[in-house]
Amino acid sequence: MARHLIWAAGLVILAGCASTPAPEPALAAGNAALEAARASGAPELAAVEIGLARSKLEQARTAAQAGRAREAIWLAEQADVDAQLARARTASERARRAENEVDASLKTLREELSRNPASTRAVP
Amino acid sequence: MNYKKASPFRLGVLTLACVSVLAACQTTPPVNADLENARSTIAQARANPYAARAAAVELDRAQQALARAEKAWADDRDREETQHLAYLAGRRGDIAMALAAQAQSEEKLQQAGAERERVRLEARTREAEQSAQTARSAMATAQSAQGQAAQSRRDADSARADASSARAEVDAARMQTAQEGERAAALQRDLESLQGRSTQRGMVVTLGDVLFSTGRAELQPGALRSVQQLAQVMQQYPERRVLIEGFTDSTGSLQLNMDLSQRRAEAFAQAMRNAGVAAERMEVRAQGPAFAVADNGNAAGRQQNRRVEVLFSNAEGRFAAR
Repeated sequence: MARHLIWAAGLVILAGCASTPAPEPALAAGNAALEAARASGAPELAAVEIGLARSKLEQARTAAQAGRAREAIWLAEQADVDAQLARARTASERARRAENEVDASLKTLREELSRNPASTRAVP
Repeated sequence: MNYKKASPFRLGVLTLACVSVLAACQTTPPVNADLENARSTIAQARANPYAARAAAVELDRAQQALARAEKAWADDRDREETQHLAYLAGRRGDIAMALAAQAQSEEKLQQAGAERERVRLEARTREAEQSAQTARSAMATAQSAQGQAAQSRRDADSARADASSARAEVDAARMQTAQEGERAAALQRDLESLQGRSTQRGMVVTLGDVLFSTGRAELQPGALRSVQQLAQVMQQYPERRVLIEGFTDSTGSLQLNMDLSQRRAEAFAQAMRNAGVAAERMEVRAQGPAFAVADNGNAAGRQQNRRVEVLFSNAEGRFAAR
């Protein structure tokens, strides 16, 4: 009786260990994130991050083909967050550049005004 | 049916075993560097005020990922899985930081944009003010010029009026002068029949002593003709007056001669009054032997000196001094 129970418990544990899910959903999610990052302009503004994501997704596919499901899932998940980070950094970089441009134009405007406060007055 | 044979004791032992395993899991696990890194990244992200606002969802996901990583480490001591989950958690923290940076940049962008608009508006306002100032100044200059022009015009009008008035005065004076000249010339012509002559003092008519008896002051009847003629002339020239002067030769005392010349002049004036000349138009003066016109050393000269002179005044009724 007890032996049966122990076996059952052991089977449950083994089943838990052996129940490694298929890597395809993770690969698909990673790929979607990578595509979104690419579309947002990450190759120009967050090249390192998207490069990392691309590389990991490639490795994930290789692992999946080789039957290493767990490794494939992990790599795909990492590629997913790397791609999301690439997208976020693309957006923040874009905002930073816009900010710098406005700052520069504001500075130029102020310099023009301080250099020539009477801009309408004819130069003698 | 076999399950029914399991005694409460055996179940208790099994439960205890399970609890023991779980308890072992919950004992403080050894430090994991990957976990520490992820915790540090996420703590940093949580401390960022922009992340709290703009990346709340991402921070939650980071926190959940960190919890999974910690659980994996605590439960299984699976270094690889812990590393993987910690990586995911750390990346979530990085994403939260990127979102925070984006929010901060966008906020600054908005502020800088607003500031730029403010500066531009200020510059435009200043330009507008300067334009207005320039316009005001130009207008003031124009008004001043206009004022000056108007003043000049008034001055010119005034000068023109003055000139016109002066010209009119000159014309009037000239006309008067011409009239006076004409009348003076006419007087001269009228007096010519009386042997009148023009002197420095004016027109003078000299009546010789033939009009008087010697030593007497009564006019001879023949003098009346001269009186009539003179009275007629004075009626034609009512603006003129006459000074009637009596003269003698040097024979006899001065007193006698002064008296005689006075009486002869008065006699002449009386005759003029009789002829209709107003007394106030005549003055009488005794000159005695003064102002001799000829030599008293001979009879002919003395005769010339015994005389009455009638001096005509100017147009204003005044006599020139001798």
